[in-house]
Parts: sequence; C-alpha cells; structure tokens
Amino acid sequence: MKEVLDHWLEAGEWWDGDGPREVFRVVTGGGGIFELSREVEKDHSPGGQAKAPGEWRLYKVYD
Amino acid sequence: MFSHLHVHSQFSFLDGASRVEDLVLKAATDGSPALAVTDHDNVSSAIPLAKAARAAGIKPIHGAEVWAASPPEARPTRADGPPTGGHLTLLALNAHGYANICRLVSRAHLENERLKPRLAWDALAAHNEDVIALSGCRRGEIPSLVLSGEYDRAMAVARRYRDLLGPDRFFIEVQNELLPGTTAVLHDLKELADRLGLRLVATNDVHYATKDRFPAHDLLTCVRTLTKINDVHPERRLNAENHLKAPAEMAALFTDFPEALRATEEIVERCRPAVDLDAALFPRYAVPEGTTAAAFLRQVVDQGARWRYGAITPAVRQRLEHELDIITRLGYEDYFLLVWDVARYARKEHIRFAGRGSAADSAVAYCLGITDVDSVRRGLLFERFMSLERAEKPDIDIDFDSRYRDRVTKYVYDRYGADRVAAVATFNTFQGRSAIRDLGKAMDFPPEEIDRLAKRLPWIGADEVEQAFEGLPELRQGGLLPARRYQRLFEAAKAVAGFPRHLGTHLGGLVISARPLTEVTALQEAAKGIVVCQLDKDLAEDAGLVKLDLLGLRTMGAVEEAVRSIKGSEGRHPAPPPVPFDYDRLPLNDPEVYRLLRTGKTVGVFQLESPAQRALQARLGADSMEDIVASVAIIRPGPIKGNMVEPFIDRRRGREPVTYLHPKLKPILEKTYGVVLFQEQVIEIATAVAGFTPGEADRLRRVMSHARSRQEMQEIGRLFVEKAATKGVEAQVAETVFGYMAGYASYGFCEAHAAAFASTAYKTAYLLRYYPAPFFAGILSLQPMGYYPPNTICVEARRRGVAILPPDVNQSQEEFAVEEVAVEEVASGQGIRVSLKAVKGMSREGLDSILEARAAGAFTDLFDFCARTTVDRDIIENLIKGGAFDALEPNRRALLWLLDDALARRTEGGLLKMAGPAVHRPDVDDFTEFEKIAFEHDILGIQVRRHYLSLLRERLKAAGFVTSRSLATMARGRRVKVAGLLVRPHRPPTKSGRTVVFLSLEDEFGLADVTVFESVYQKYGQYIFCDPCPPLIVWGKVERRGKGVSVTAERLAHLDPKDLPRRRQRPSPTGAS
Repeated sequence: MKEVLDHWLEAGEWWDGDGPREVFRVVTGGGGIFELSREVEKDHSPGGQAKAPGEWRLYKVYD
Repeated sequence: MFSHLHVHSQFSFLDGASRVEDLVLKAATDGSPALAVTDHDNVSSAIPLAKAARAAGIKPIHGAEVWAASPPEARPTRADGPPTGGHLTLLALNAHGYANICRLVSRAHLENERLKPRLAWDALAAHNEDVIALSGCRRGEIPSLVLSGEYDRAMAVARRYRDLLGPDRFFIEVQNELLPGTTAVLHDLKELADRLGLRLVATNDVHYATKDRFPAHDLLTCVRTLTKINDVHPERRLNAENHLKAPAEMAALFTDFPEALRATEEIVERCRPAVDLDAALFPRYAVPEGTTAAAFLRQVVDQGARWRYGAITPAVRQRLEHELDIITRLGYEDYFLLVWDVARYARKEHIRFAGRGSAADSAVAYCLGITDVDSVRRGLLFERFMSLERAEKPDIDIDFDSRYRDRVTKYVYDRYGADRVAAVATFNTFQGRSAIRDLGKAMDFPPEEIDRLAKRLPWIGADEVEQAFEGLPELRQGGLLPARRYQRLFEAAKAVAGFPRHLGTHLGGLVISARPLTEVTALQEAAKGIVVCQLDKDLAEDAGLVKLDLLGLRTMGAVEEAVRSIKGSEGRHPAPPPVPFDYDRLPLNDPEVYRLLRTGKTVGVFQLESPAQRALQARLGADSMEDIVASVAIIRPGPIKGNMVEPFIDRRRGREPVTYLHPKLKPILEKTYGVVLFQEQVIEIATAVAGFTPGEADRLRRVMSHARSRQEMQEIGRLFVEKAATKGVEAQVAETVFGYMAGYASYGFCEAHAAAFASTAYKTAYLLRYYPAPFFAGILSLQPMGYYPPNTICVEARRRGVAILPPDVNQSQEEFAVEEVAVEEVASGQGIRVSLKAVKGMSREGLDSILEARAAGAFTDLFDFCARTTVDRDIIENLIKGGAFDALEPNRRALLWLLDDALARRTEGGLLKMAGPAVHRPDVDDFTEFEKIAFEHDILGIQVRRHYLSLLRERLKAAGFVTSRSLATMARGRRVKVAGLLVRPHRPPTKSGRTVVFLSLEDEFGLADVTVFESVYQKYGQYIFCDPCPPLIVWGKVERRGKGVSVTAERLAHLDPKDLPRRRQRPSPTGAS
C-alpha cells in the first residue's frame, strides 16, 4: 500500500444487527485503488468512541 | 472550552432525535460553557433552551439553520435551473439579533410556498444586525460547491457574505464527521478562508445528544424522506458521528485546526442573553380619549353589573371592588377589556357563545358578559382564577358557535393588527398509532398489516404499544401475528415517543402581543392559510404573551338552530313551558327539567348524555343547579379514580352520613358532602391541613393541571404529610387525605368550569324537555357533535314521539328542519325532516342548485330534477338511494335505471327532447327493505325508514332476545341476552387500573347500556374493538341502580342473522306452502 487517500466511518445496516465499520481508501504501488474495511466493535455506551479491533476485509475494488 | 454552535433539537421535525433538555444536560455534563440550538427554520426551542440552560448553569445561544438563496452576483449565469443556495447557520448575539433571526425565519416561511421556506438575499441584507452567520454543514452552499469542485463559485459566494456581514460576523464552518472526502474539504475550506481573511469555526452538525440515538435519527430520516430502511437516500447519514461530542473529542478531531475550536469560545463570549423569560407583552386596549384602561374597565363593569343584577347590592359592589383591585394591581385591565370587546362583537353579530374555565370564578367577567355564571351567588372565589400571590397571566376561554368562530378570529386580527396576532401552534407528536404507521412503513412492514395493527390500538403513547400488545385481547387475538415479529418496531416506537412530527395549529388559541410578534418568535403558514407562531400554548405563556382561546363548540350552533326554530314557530309547540321562551333568561329551577334529568334519559343534553352520566342522573336525584354542577365534575377520571362517586351519591341521597377525616376539611367539603370534587378543593385542603404556602399550593396546582409525573406528585405527598404533622395532623390521616388528592390529580374540573358547563347542560335539558323536535334538529344539523352518532339521536327522537321524515328533493332544507305531522301518525305532531346536507357527497354547488331550481317550482320527477339542476351524477345517485325521490317514485332501483337517460337529456340542452322516445318506468323489482336501510345508513348515517334490528325483531324474539325497552322492567340479577348496534365503546381509567369497558347497544327502541369487566373483556374484547364492527350480542345479568338499568356482560359475540331461527311462514290462503 502506497498511500491512504481517504478514511471514514460507516454505521452499517444497524437494523440487521450489523456493527459499525471503518473504511480506508488506499492506492497501491501498482496504481490500484481499493477500499479496505474493518468492523468496529459496537460501543453501546451513550457517548463512546468507536473501538477498533476486527479483521481487515477488502470492501471495494476500483476498476 | 469548546461549545457546540450547530445543534438540532426535536424542533427540527423528524431530523432531531434528542430533546433540548437532554442536549443541554449533555453539554453541561461535558463541561461546555454554552450551547446553541439551531433548528431548521424554527425557533420553538428558544424558551426551553433558555430555561434548561439557566437550570444547568450554561449560556444559551439562540439561532436557526435556514436555507439561504445564493447572493445575486454569485449565482450561475444560467437563468433556468433550480434555485441555488444552501444551509446557513444563524446565531443571535443578543435580543436584537434574536428578533432579526425571527424576522428572517418568518420571511423565509411567509414569502414562499408552505413548508418550503427559503431565505432571500435581500431579507438577509435587511435583517442581519447582531446576527452571526456560519457557512453551514455539507449542505451549506459554500461547502457543497467545494465538494463538487466549483471552487471559484465557492469563493464568490463567501466573498459576498463577508462583504455583507464582515469578517467578525461571518465564519467558515468546518466539521470533521469522518465521512468520505472530509479531510480534503477541510483543507479546501481552510484555504478559502485564508484567502478571504475569514476565520474557521468548528461544529459537529449535531442531530442527537448521544451516539445511541443514531438509530432513532436514522428512522426519523426515513420517515421524513419516505424511504424504506433498506434503501439509500442522500439525507440518510452514513455514520453515527453527529452526536454532541465532548470538548475533548472535538479537540482530537481538530488537531490540525485548533483555531476553529478557539473561534467557538470567542463567539460564545460575544453572545448575550437573547430571550427574556420574565417579559410581559400584553397588548393595550384603545380606550376612549381622556380615560385610562383602569377607569374605563370600571365604567364598563358598572354598566354590566346593572345589566346583570339590576340593583347592585353591597355584597356585589364589594366583590367587584376586590376583583378590580387585583386586576389593576397585576396590570391586566387591558386583557379584560380586550376579551369584553370580543364578547361584545359576538353579541352584536348574534353569534352564540359561552365563557368557560376558571374565568367563571370572576364576577367582573360575569358583568362584562364574558361568562354566564354568577360567581357571587355561587360563592366562587376570584383567587382561584387570579391572585396576587400567583400573579399568573389570565387565560380566558370562550366557546363560540363553531360555524362563526372564524369570523370572531378575523375580528381580533383586524382590531389588533396581523403583525401582533397569530394562532398558537401545537406540536403534533408521535403517539401509538402514528408511530406504528410511520415507522412500520419505514421498516418495510406490509401496509395492510400495519393498518390492522394501528387501527386496533387504543389512543395510547408510542411507548405503551408493546405493553398494549400483551395486555389487550383485540391485539392478542385479533388475527395479528405474534408480538416478537414487531419487537424492533415497538422499540423504535418507544425511542420516538412524544417527539414532534410537525407543527400544527391549536384550535382557537390566539396570541396577541403589544409588540410585533416577530420580535418574540417566528411566524409561518399552517394549513388553510392560517398564520401561526412557533410557540405552543405553554411556550406562549412562558414567552410573556397573552393568549385567548376562541373555541368552536357545535353545541352552541345546535342551540342557535333550535332557538331560531322555536322562535320561528312560536305558538305551535305541542307542550310549551309555563313561561315565555327566552333562552338567555331561562328559569334555572324548573321542576320538570329536573324530573327529566332524574329519568336518566338524557341523550342530547350537553355533558350529561354519556352512559356514565345517564346512570348517575338516574341515581343522583338532581333537583338543583348544584347537583348539575356536581354531575359535570364527578364523572371524570379524577373523582372516579379517587373513589368519590359512590360516597357522593349515597351522601347526597342521605343514605350515608357525611363525615370528615379531619375537622379542617368540613368548611371546604361541606358543599360537596365531604367528597373532593373540584380542583380548588384540593388546593384549599393543602393550605388548610398542611399549611402549604401559596408557592407550594401553586406547584401542586401545576402538577395537577398539567398531568406531570407521578414522581413529582409523590414528592408533594411527602411534603404534605410532613407539614401536616407540624400542624398536629396524624400521619395516617394526612396520608389518607393526600391519597384522595393524589387520586384526583390532573383530571378534575375546577368548580367554575363545572358551573359554566352546568349552565349549558341545564339549558339544553330545558330544550329537550319542552322542545325536543327543534333541539334534536339542531343537534343533527351540527353533526358531528355530542356523544352519539346521528342514528342514535334519531332513535331517541322517535322514542320521544318525534318522527324522522326521509330526505325529500321537494321538502328537505339545507339543514334538518321541524315539520308538522298529522297527530294520528305521531303523538307530538312534529317530525324532523332529514336535510339535503346530510346526503353523502352533497356539494355546496349541488345544494344551491337544488334550492334555486325548487324556488321556481317543485320537481315533478327525476327528469325534471336533472333538467333543472346541475347536481353531479354521484350525488343524484345518493339522493335516490337515500330515498329523496321516494315521494315522486318509490321504486329506487327503477330510478337508478333511468338516471343515465335523465342525465343524457340534461346534457342535450337542459330540456327534454320532445322528439325523443317516451320514458317508461322500467319493470324492475325495487331494493329489499334491508337494502334500503343499508343505503340510508351508508348515505345519510341514519336508518330513516326503520331500524335494521326491527327487521330481525321477530326472529330475535323467537331466539329469546330482549329489547332495550323491556330491560327497564326486568328484575336485578336476571340473565338476559340483548343485541344491538355497537355505540361508543370506551375504557375510562379506573382506580384499580383494571380495564372496564362501557358501551351501548342501540336497537329500534333505544339504548341498552352494558358494562364489561376485565375478565370478560380479556376473553371477548376483540368483538368490541374492531373495524368495522357488526351488531353485537351480549349475554349478561341485569343490574339496577336507582332508576338506571344496565347489563353486566358475561359473554359477547357478533350477531349473525343466519344463526337466528327462520321466520315462520304464514300459511297461504290456498293452503299451499
């Protein structure tokens, strides 16, 4: 991975029990652009920050 | 320390998922010194924010978020295309700035299509003094241009705002919401700001206080945008980051832009209090030159006193002086004059009205002709309405003939100026049914399933739905799927319970201000073009505004119609009263009227017609106005839950001695036989027994009148017992006394209100006794009104010997009207002709067309009718089916066959084609009796020819059913079965909390009242609360109390005629079967 182009949070399909996820849009050395995501542990406390364990997944590939 | 300056509360309807109070609490807990609330085109949060912030010890900053049009010079050159602009956050530096924001929000609403507020550039240019503007969230014009790469235009727009407001009043707003593109936008906005010499300010576009409210916000967004939860929509937030983050969290997000955080501190420092919670904004009444409001009021009261009393006794004079003294010391002379003026106008225009509520405690109000209750004679205390200790603003409610209420409202607008008068708002909130419908749709439940569930819910809060599903048989057994399927829906409903969905208009509430209203709040257009302020009645009072409730009461209209009919046929009434008729000066002691009340047959009597009231009248033995006042007050949740009803009746009838738990209660409760009936008595007890101060008594009164929390009532209870102990009252006695008071809390009437209503109750009973035909005609003309549907009114009219005459194209008037009928047919010699307006679908044009054509001569047949009127086909069909042509041609089916032909001839020039084929009556069988009755019920709401059950009576009798009439003679305890049309089932609150359902069954003879206790309700409730509901069978036992009779249900079922014995065939004359 060469560079992180962007980074954001998504709430996911919370109504189906999905948890929030963190997404990174990256560019690789070969010029490919990908989005990688990982689940953020659901924090049920009212003002809590997202905690960040979870395995990495390939979320999107840009042609 | 950082403070949030862009925050949405519940008043950003369907876009704010936290209440103002919760937002303030979170901000204060996080250590922020201030909080701004900036709702979408709305300033309703101003008062709650000021109050909550004061209590929490932080600074409130008032503002709004508007959609602002692009500056003219910065608009795209293309003339076509959608309007350009975007969100803009506005903050008030002080009261002047807040008034400007109110003006801006008002103009945005009033200068555009309803519900599409847009702020024009010239409005901002005219009203921006002491206002700070922030460039907005991602939907602000500048950020959205940056996001779409139109950097030059973004610069141009920002430059115009800078030039208009100056760099000290226009800031570039930045958020770090962890959305795609955020980092790039932040840097672009920073560069833009630097190039223009503008500063950044950090916000978080807050839409809820804490992260766990995100699902509620997402669902509200789906409801607002009509999106299903599985679908995407640009307004649905991608993440849950728009909560009220703590200063430390915000600092972590803006490490690269610390100046943006500092800017919030500077803005907070510059803002001053903008809303005055102690303001008094009473309008001035224009008194004649050379006098003052106080002197003029005294003069008018004197004149009124002579009108009311003739000679003014020392007692009356003393009372009036006392009241005038308090009124002038509190500065409310203008208010009384204003209301007197409105009443005077109504009287002049012959618009019937009656003052209600605690204003009836006032002798001044009586002398001014505002109320109809002589408070001096009734011993009502003025201090219950107004007192120096409470110094509350007066609030007078008046019921007008609902047909003319808008004319009175217009008079107020014209008199005081449209900029100083506005309707009071009401916040339409999520309740059980609305939450299930809106959220069910968003959560993609099948529409018919949601419809079935919603229709069966009683009128409960959205947070009580889950419990109702478990507790109500009509939901458990009503064919709905198991509760677990709706679990998420119930949770969602709970999350939005009580949240406002939109702003509506309070029926009849008007605020009148001494200053232009846009200095206090914003105005917008509600439905029907009414201009409404963004304050509900409570907020209006808190804002220091004076409110007047001009209510519409259909009973006033019914009375007016009856009076007109009676006067128009003077001398022709079958059994007139012993004195000449003057409704406004009826004798209040006519024994015949009380005899009527004691029968319990009071359908139609204002306030005394419900089954509970009828049962009470049959037992109470009323013989004076005091009894009627008590009746109005006692059938209310308060006395019922406080177990007051039975003791009151027994003591009134002398069957039980009157006792008092403590001697101090005697002077307070003597008038009501030792029973707590009125709100005022609760206050007097608190003062006499526990020595409550006026402030403590006032708190108790507020808790009672506003149905505040049980917890607060319990706290007051503890205080009561403690203070009573210091006065030597035993704890047990004090606890019992408070138990009566607590059970009563929040549901009782004040005595003056009961007295005001009792006056109308007596007078309508008078009309019923002596003029039943005109009285029922008035009630039918003003439907929907009263407790019962029109068919029940007609059954009652028939029971009293008044015929119901079918609609007739040649006889019917616009309204129901009394006609003379041959005495051989009807004992009273009077009938009520069903009106043309009662025909389903009848239009104003159709009505006018019929009356105009008929003035030239009666209609001879259907063709003549079609030729001479322009009534629509659907309405003519309804007229036929409803029987309006029966006198010309009794075969309704034949007429329907001819209708198209008749209409075709109308279109051919309005004349019958002389050369056309002759018209022959088709040889078809008419509709059956049952079909005709069904049509009438559907089209008129009335079964005119005969009651449906009369068709089945023979078979019902053969099956052992009794009638409502025969119940009257049956012994207590006898087991019966009775059938009828279900009328007004309802579940009033009970002391035990268990469910009791009261309903009536209507047959052709009248009403049978039925009581369904909890255990029976749990088994058979689904037969009662259904939609539509077929006729009902009740098996049960006869219960008798006084002159009243009812059935206590043991079993219920729907009536199916197929289950009844077949009619016995009469043998044919020839012997053939």
